[in-house]
Amino acid sequence: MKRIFIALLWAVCVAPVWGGTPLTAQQKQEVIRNINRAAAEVKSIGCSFSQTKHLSLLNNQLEAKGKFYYKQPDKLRWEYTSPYQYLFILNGSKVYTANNTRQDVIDTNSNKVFKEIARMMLNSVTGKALSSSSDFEIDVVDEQTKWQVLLTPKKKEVKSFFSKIELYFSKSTLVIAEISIYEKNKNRTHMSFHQIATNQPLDETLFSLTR
Amino acid sequence: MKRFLALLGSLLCLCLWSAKAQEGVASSEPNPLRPYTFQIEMGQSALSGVWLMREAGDTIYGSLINEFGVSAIDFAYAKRTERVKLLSVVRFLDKWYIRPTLKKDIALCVQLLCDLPHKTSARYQLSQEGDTWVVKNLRRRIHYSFTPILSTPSPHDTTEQSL
Repeated sequence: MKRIFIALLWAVCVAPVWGGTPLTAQQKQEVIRNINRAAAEVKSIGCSFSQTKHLSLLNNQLEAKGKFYYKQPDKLRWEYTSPYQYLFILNGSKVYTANNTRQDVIDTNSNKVFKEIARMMLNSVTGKALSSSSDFEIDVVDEQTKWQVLLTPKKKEVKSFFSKIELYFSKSTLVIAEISIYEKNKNRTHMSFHQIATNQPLDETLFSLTR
Repeated sequence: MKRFLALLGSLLCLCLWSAKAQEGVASSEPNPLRPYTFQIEMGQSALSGVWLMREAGDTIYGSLINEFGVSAIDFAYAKRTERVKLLSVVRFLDKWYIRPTLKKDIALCVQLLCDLPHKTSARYQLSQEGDTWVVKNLRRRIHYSFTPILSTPSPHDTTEQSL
């Protein structure tokens, strides 16, 4: 009886943590270099995405779907189609947002918070966030078919929103496959990207700052 | 040995009870989620996203999140006192001079959306345009609008239920 109890205690307290395999510093640098190299070769991305928001207070989740487009160097279109309609376009230093009732154009040069958000979004989806050591503490874990990159924000403006961000890159393509965003209030948002097409021609009107 | 196992069992029960008590809403609650798209306009600025509420006994819990899923406000509305407690507020709204207004306005919005009794006041203008409810705080010039998100309810309300 005593032996069984000690074995159970060991299993709970000492058993190895399930999850990815941590890498050495050298291995991490190599993964980051490979992702950066792949990111530099990606001129455009077009895909659909699904988003799940886990709400700790309501013990529930909210799912949304949409389409995402990126064009090098600084154009991004994030469009929610279900269950609500919302459009976010980043084109250079300008951000355009629109829902069913309102449209806004914001100059990120005059809005520090928006500038940070826009920069973070671009860097996250392209993998350039991995080189932003001044913005994040960066860690890399081997998750079998994916590389998990853990970003812990350093800047106060980003820290006030997020406690950590996880980026998942497909090992085969080194393109972003999933993003998990963790907030201080224990909420988290998970995004998965599907039907990813890279380096296909994208119509410039996708990034137009008007409807 | 028996005493030790009894103590361990008690500690385990205490941990489970504590974890349950920290939940905002009990997972076994059958009350459905009430989702709305919302927009809050203050002058040139606006905040939009999804407003979600769930009843748990005498309390209505709510979360306001933007379209990207970033949390803006979490609140609890007590039906008995008709007051709102702000559980978390995004940094740019978390100011001592904004919180009192937010509490009163959110309380009125909850009462309206949940069909609870509410007091009329010259400070507020309430209107409905189709499915959309509009609440205007005339004194602070803040406009709130809510449109229900229509979805097929899930037959089983489990711990993690899709909208």
